[in-house]
Amino acid sequence: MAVFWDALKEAVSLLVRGDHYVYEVIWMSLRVAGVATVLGVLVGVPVGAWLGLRKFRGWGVAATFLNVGMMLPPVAVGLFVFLLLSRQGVFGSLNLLYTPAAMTVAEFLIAAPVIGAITMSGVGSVPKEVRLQALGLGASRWQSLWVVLREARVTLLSAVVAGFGAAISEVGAVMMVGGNLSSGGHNLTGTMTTATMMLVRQGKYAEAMAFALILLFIAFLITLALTYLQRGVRRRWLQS
Amino acid sequence: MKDPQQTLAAGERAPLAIEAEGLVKKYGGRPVLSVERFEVREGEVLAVLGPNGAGKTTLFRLLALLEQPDSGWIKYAGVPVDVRSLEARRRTAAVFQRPVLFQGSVEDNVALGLRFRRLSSRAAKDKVRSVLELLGVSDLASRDVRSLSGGELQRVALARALAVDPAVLFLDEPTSSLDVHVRRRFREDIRRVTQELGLTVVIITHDHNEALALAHRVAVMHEGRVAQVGTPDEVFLSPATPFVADFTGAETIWRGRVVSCLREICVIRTSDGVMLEAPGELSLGEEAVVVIRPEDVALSLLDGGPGRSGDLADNSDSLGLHAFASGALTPRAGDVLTPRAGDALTPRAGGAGASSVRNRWKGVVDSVAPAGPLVRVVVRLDGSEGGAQASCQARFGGEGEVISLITRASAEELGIAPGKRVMASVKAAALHVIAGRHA
Amino acid sequence: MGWRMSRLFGCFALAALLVLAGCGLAGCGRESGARAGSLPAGKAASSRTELVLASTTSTQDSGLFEVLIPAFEAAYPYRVKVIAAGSGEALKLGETGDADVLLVHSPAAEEVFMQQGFGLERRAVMHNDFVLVGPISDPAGVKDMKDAAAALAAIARAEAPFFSRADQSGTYARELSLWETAGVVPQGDWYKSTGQGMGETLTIADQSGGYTLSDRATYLSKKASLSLEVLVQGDKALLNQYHVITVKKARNLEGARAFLNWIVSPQVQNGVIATFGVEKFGEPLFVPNAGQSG
Repeated sequence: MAVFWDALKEAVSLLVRGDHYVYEVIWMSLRVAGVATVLGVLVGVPVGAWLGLRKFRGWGVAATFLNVGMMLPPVAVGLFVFLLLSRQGVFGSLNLLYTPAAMTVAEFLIAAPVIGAITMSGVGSVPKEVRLQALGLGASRWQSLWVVLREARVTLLSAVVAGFGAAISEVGAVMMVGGNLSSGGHNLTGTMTTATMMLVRQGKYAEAMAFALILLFIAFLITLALTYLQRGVRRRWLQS
Repeated sequence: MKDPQQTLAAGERAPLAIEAEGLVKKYGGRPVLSVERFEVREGEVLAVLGPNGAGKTTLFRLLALLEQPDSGWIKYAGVPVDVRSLEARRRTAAVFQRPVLFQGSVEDNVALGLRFRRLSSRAAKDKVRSVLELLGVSDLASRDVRSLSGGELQRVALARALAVDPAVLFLDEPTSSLDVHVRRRFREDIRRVTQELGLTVVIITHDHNEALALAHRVAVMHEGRVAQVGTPDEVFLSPATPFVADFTGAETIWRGRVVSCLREICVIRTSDGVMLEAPGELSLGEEAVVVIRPEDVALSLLDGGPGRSGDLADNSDSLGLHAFASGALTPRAGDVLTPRAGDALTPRAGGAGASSVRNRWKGVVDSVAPAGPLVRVVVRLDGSEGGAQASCQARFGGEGEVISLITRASAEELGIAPGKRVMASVKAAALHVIAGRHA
Repeated sequence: MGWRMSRLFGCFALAALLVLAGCGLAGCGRESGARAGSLPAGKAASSRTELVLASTTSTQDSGLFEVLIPAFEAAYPYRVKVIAAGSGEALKLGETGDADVLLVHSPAAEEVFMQQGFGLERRAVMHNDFVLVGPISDPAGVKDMKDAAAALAAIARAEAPFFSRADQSGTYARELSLWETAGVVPQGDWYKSTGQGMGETLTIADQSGGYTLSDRATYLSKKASLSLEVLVQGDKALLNQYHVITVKKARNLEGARAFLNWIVSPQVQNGVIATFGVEKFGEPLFVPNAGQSG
């Protein structure tokens, strides 16, 4: 237990002191997960919304794909991206392996299905009458779609948050395609998750703890944001 | 009710007529709607009446350009339109059965249609304010819609539809999700507002009283088809089919055959042996369905109760009806009955010396049930076979039964109760005859 | 009544699951270390005492344990659990008593470990060597150089990509001493730290077309999947000595001693270690030298 408290104390001092490697790693995590989430929204929301709105022949297959994508073990995604980007892979010539770009791709492939599946569920639970009523008030097809999305906005927001959470907490896939490389004390491709894993392996518990604390804090912020979203909606109702 | 030919209200709204032909809609291969021709006239309030599953909502959605028919065409003001005609659709507005309100305040909701049409924020605000005032809900403007009651919600939904200055307003069962006591008030609001604004209104309803109260014309739908279109009087008092009769509340429906006809009065013998006289021009031996509205059936107690006790002898000025009823004379096809001197043959009510009630039947009270401030009395007529349990036509007041609606006061006064012997009487003019054999 | 029964059943099932899980974590059914001794070999695995061996990833990557451990378990009634990490962490596990016996190759750190009293006995086991590997294109032109330190200096001058393990491993320690000998402080984006095991570092260097220092055993075992070549070898500075250390705080001290004595015994030295790798790579990966240094 003493190990734990020592590590904790050192971790806090590391964070407070402003160790530049630590900050670089934190920034890398946020930036890669952030871009991956944005891309995930750009792809996942339209696909999820489309699947949530209409039933067409082959809908079952498409929806299953999306759900499977969400359940896919991230490590499988990592392997897939690794093979694509490796020297022998299709995109090997791009030399993208062990770069933030590769990590972003992997995290995108993990976040997008999550965002898509939750969007599909949210949009699907908007009653069909909503779209009809919008049309009945003179909405164009796109306007009626916007209305439906707006009605599902709480779910959509939680889809984004969930996607970000999945992206930023990924370890295995990021490790495989990123390599957690650094150079001369500066971070190259390390994220909080991969760095934590490495540091534990090296016995550097204090530094590992520092990152774990930040990750916990981020998880806390995310949960807070989600809760606030739900409650903020209710609070306005109560105030009216 | 105001004349449909009314002056236009101020504003950009130009009246619109809707025409449709050959509309067919199928769900999963089954046809749910098949309407040969349908018209909505400028400035009128048209009620589409029918039971659940009759196809009213489907018709509503097709006319409002919310769904595409499988075949047929629709024209707005003579111009063919369909689901993709955004501009045409924007000249209408719809209110649905369960108020569909979007997240936000009342103002946000009411302004929605205007935002779709890209109206400026300021102009939208003004319009929202004026339409909220029109419906008397200005105080709700900034309230969140989730805090509103059912009646308030529908009022807001109506305001929202009116805010876009529609030429045609579509209302799908606007009061059926409301509490009963709120319903009447809302109905009044609809009537007041549509009259004030001179809109064309298509209102879907399954409540025939609502149709009666609001509409210039009524279209009755049954199993995907239009059974009858006409003014409320036409539909209610002269139903074209037994279904229409039944749905509009004419509870006594008998099948029979024409026994004799003189001038415009026919004698019909129902399959249960009840004889009656009704106005109509039919041929001897023709099959017919007779419809009697319960309000038109008067009851009087037989055998010593208070009130006039009647007897078939009073019918002596009828066309020998008495003799037929007792089976003494049986007419043969081809007989033409000539009036005897002294016969009074006035078919309509009124006129000195004529008894206005030609149809009187004795019977026993089968059941007495309250119906609001009135009382519904079922009377099984003498000589009838079995009544309600007799046939599969029991949907309609079983042959041999007559249903009467009288005030509670009268019921109490007369002491109407099950088992009592009564005389049921109807003026000939109040009987409606539908020619032909109907299922 | 129905839902109450199912609630009750659910509670029992949950409790049973938790107990099972807890058992798994705490190691219920694990016999205490004292019993061992004269029990016959060939006992079922579940009733054997556990012996925790901490070693390095490079040793594990070489595949040596796949031969060594079964041989040991056939002779002794222990169930060996191998924890592979860097030499540094292995030593740390020895400090806390989380390992019973160590097999590492970081002499300087090991001596500190012994000095601090964490180890009981330390014996030489075998050595292998390090090799400098790199891409066939050899941008820094170090192929066939005899001086490893000079080769590194050449790589630094050319700013060719070099991948360092930068962990507590013996390999890293050797790399650092080479840089020191060369009088070069590696700095710049060309010099990347992976912080990982030898196998991973080789993969990364391979994929990135860079150089790295590797122990021969790991390199050979991964050679088929790599396109890296041995560019510098044979320099005395590249020799890598393994030691076995029994841990003072060991839970299974008897097992630790047994392992130490076993691995330095001539049968194992000549029978197992000296022959390891010949079949697969055509040359032995390790050179046993238990008798040579202390």
